[in-house]
Amino acid sequence: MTAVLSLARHTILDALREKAFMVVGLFALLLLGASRLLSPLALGEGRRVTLDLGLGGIAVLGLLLLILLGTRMVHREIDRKTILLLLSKPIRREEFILGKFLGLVGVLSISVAGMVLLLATILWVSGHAVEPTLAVAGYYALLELVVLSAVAMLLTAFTSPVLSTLFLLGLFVAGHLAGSLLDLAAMLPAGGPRQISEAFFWVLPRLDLFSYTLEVVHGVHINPGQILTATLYAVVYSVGALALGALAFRSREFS
Amino acid sequence: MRKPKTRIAALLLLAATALAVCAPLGGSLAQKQSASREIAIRESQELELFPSGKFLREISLGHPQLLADLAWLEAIQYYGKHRLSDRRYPLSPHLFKTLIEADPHFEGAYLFAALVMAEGGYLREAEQHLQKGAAVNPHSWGLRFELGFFQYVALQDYARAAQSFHDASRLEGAAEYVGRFAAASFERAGDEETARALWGVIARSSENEEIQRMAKDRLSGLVSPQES
Repeated sequence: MTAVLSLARHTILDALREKAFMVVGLFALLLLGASRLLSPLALGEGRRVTLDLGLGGIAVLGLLLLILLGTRMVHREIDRKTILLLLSKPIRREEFILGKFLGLVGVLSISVAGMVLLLATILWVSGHAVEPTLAVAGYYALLELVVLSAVAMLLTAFTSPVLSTLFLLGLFVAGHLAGSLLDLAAMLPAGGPRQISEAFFWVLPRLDLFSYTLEVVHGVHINPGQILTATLYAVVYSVGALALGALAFRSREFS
Repeated sequence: MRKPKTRIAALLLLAATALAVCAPLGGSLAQKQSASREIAIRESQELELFPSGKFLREISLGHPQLLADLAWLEAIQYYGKHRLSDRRYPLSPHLFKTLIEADPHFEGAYLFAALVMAEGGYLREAEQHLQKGAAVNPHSWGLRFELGFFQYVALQDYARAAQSFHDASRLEGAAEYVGRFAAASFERAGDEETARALWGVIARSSENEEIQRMAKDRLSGLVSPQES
């Protein structure tokens, strides 16, 4: 476990050196500019527009950060040959994948927390109310990124960074539409196509489970049971994806 | 005295000059009219292609409110443009339908839609928007209050307005004045019994002495059935 935590810490420090947190600064600039520009045009809905832009920005920039860091972190170790050095130590390959995953989740947690704080500050400075549900929205955004990080670890274990990026983007889109696959299955004739649609529904990450931004914007009370269900789903799916990633990584040869 | 030929020549010259001056102006006006017609057609085509709210929700990737905001800004632009020109809003129903489908809890959208519809003379449609908003947002006292206000002022249907105000006043967080609107509307609608009951509640429950006095005045102005 010490090795895993050490790897995670190293991953976070590495990300800091890469200036990946510049994304947070970019978020602040974009949000401040857009809210100042659009709020006067929104006919009294300035808070809503700022909040929506902020939550959308957290999702998009979080994904960007994940793609920039997550899809390259294992390959960089391979390219630099540092993986040979690491694996010659008493570190199992599963521990390597887990350590990298935890490091990535650490970086994303710090970034999402920073962006949520910035959003709250901009709302407060603009004279708008800051509801506690904003923290829930940040938590949901993080859960989505955790699931995608685990998928990135799985992809990075057997494909190139470019393919990982493409697959990840595809899964992000498909994951948000996964809820509609059952509706599609119901419309298809019984047999092959319907089963394929249902199989995709179970395999794809259900990212629609983490979409509670409407409730947050309208200050609707979110049932703790929903938060618990989403958390459990994120944990189970991530463990599954990491286990598959570790299996794929175990059979990989390095020279 | 000038010769007739000279006069005719002078008139022809004047006409030619006027024509020469007016031709570009007329041409420019015609061009402008044609351009504005083209813009109107293009705008109409663009808005007809504006996707449905259901589609926007699907493609929003978990952020339907962001696309609803875009539709909201588009609706404001559309209204503003036509408010300053022809004051006709034929495509507003489609825009508002999209907006409300994308975010059914966007209360401001129902209100704005109702105002635009009412301005266009579509009073029933305007009322339907507010009724739909109140139905989709059952905890919103504000939308019920706006519905009552609209029924009172625009439709002059005091009985239904009174009921809407009364419904709004019973919701959590409703402002104190909503109950007064309900009582006054029942009185106006001729339902003195309900009006008396509501004024009685206000007189007993209000912490504001001025409002208590006003409610008692209204109560004394209403003759009770026993007295009559």
